[in-house]
Amino acid sequence: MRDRRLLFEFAFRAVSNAVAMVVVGVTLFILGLVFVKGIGGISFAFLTSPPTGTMDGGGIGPMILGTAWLVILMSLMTVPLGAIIAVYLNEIATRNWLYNTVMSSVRTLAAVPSIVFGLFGLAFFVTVIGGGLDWLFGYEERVFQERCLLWAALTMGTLTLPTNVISVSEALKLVPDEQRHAGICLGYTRWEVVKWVVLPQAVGGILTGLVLSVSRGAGEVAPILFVGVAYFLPHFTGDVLDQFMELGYHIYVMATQSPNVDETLPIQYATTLVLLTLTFGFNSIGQVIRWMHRKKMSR
Amino acid sequence: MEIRERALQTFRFSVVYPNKVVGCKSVDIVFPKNEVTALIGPSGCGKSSFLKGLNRLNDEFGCTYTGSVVMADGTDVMTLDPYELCLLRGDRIGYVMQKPVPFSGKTIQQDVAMPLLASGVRDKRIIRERVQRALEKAALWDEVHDRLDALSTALSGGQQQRLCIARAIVNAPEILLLDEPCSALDPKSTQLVEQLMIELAAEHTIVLVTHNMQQAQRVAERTAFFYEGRLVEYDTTQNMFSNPKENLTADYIIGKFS
Amino acid sequence: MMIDDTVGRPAEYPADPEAAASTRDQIRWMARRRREQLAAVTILFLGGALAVVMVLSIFIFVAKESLPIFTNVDQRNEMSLYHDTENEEEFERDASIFQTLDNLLGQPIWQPVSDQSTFSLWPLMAGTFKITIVAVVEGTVLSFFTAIAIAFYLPRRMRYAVKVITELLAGIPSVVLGFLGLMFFATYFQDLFGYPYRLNAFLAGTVLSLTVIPIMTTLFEDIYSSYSRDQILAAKAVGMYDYQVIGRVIIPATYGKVFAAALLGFGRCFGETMIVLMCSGNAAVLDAHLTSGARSLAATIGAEMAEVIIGWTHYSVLFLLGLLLILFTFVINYLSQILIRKWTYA
Repeated sequence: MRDRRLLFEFAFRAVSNAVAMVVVGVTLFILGLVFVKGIGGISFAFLTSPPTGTMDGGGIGPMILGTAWLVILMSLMTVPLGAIIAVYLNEIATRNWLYNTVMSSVRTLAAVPSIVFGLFGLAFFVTVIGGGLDWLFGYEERVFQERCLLWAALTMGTLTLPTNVISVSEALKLVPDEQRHAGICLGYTRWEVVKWVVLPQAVGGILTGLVLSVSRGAGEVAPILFVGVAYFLPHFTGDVLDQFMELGYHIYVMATQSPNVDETLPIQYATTLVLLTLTFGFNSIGQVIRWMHRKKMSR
Repeated sequence: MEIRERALQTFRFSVVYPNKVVGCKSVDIVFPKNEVTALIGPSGCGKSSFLKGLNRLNDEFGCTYTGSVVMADGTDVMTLDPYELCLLRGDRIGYVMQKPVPFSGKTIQQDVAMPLLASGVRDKRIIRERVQRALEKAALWDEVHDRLDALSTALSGGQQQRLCIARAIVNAPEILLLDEPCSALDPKSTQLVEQLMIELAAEHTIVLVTHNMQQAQRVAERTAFFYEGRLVEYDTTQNMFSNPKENLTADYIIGKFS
Repeated sequence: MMIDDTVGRPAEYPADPEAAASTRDQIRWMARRRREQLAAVTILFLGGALAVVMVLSIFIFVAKESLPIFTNVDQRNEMSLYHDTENEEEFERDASIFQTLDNLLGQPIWQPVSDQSTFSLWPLMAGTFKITIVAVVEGTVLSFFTAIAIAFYLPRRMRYAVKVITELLAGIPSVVLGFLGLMFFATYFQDLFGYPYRLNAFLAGTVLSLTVIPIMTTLFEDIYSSYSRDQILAAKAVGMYDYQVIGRVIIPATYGKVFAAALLGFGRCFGETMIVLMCSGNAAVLDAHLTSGARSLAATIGAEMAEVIIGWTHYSVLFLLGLLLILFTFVINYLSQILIRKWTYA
């Protein structure tokens, strides 16, 4: 009897550890695979030059620029807004139905599939806002009501909003209540407590939110599939009302719609490596900042 | 017990927490000007709620009040709107918490100057001057004058508490509320802070909450005994400890309960 | 002395001109602080309100774009299965809402671009369900054992490493996973399992499970780590082995939370686009085989939305698919919230 239980115990332990090792192994394998297959294709020329022909040669310069622009514009929207919502939830709102509504809205926003944000971008930013702006300025042809970088960035900003709210909220929760009370005892208004006492201590959280949402925004493709990304546009114009090329979308296009998939495989792996480095790098930086901030606050 | 000049007075003052727990009930008390008054009593007796009610810090916990708290010039603290309350807390009532709370990430200079931010003092020279004066009064200047740009969290516990006192008096408030300021300190620091309170009483009216009867005897000229939210007895410290009028007070003083 | 009712300062200025000036300054300063406070609180409140407005407007605008197939008579005619495109002039165009419903829920064929477009939801729903089930089952099993290993079995240093590496997995963009699934794993899986189609629901589900493993592992691990140490020790004190503690004490006590976590993983999976788009083969077939191609709701939107003409029937139908995704999300989120609440306070 005892032997059977020992055997079970041993088997269970072995299975659990083995599965954990499989998960770890798969992760490392994926990272290693992309690195090994992609590193050969990386060069300065590849990173800066535009693609050539039917995208079977050349580099990924415009895609990197497009991704960078997208991410920057997105951060300009999502980081301040995320901080505002987080501060409202944690510092201003009393725990009533309004608080609950805002809170569950943020949660819902975090759970909505990313493709739906794309639909929202098309139906709201492009059609309603863009169309409205065209009407407002009296343009005959479509200027704003086009799929373009600006609307893609706003769509991506909506998508990454919950990430920011959660990061900043976490940082605000780490600020002890005594600090707020001490501020109040000095005669601060509620906003002054936020401005002079709480926010300076939550900078780490805002930074984490920024970096994590940049990582997320650079990696997501689904929401911008039909809100501004271009199949082939060899020169990045920098105009926010133009379409643009994006790294993730480029990988998708090359892998599924390229005329000679096998020949361009090295380019694809190299592009993947660049994207992975970007998103992964930012994600790791974000985790490190979060960790350091937590350590600093817990001291 | 005679009182020459009144600094703060409460009329039937009650604090009620949002969960209907009564903090203190119908307290009538007069704090004489430029004296130290100690509030003693067993823990949970309402002395701390009462003190937090005086500058309405209890607003933060959603408390409601009845009765009134009147300053020397007739201002009723309970009827002030939020902005007047900010002015009152900033300029006229200082508050020191139980645990020393230096603002994290601020230097000593910045930390002590925090109340001046709210009062709109922007002249660097005046700020330096007033910070120095406050630190001198708080007996901290000699220890920190050469490292005003060090982080305030890097100070020792006793120094942090004196920093908080300096911060509370930088705007020269009439009244200083101290909520068990020595409970987190070592005996040496406690002695320093007690000495400080006696010195500060020359310019400020001090209300001190303490669970330590010896401390009340050492520092306070008058003592009030709270029990279960009520003010049981209020007298000069000498009378209170040598000749208590109420049995409850006598029992507490000789340590029948705590 | 009177209190000035705006700033809590003496109403009469002091006689000394210097003091009067300073009083005036202070009044002005307080007025500024007050304006700042009001402005800040207003902005913060509007920000909070904007979050609510965003969620509502996502729902409203997606719904609005999908409505024409029910309300617009031209689109209803377009949806009508029985109209003959050869004699369009003769055909009496007045299709009802039932024609639309018949198209959506009738014969299970998804064929948006043809003379007679059919937009049946069944193959898409079946595809979504197949892929998601594979992903959730694999994800739950792998995460369960990984979490158990982290919480009970691995040595302390290893625990930390495994946790960090599983979190790294969450940082890999889905398009990268999809790319590797398509280019690398597809061929190896086919060689390994020998099924007919290279891209299929099983492959998509397996790759998809990689995206939920980090989330579910963290959730499970939280659940197991926060389980009372004393209870575990008590169980061990009566001579239970670890596997018995897990099987007889912890799992019975936490299966509700585990189920809620699995449900959250489900919510994460069914809306995922890129992996499904690249790995599932995108064949809109209605069958129960995991090894046949599949087409999910989200992937359909992703694949077809770029080519449709804004405002036409196909466009509206794709928005209807989006609306379905939103509704699923709401339902699953709501259910998991209820479950978590029920099992947390029960």
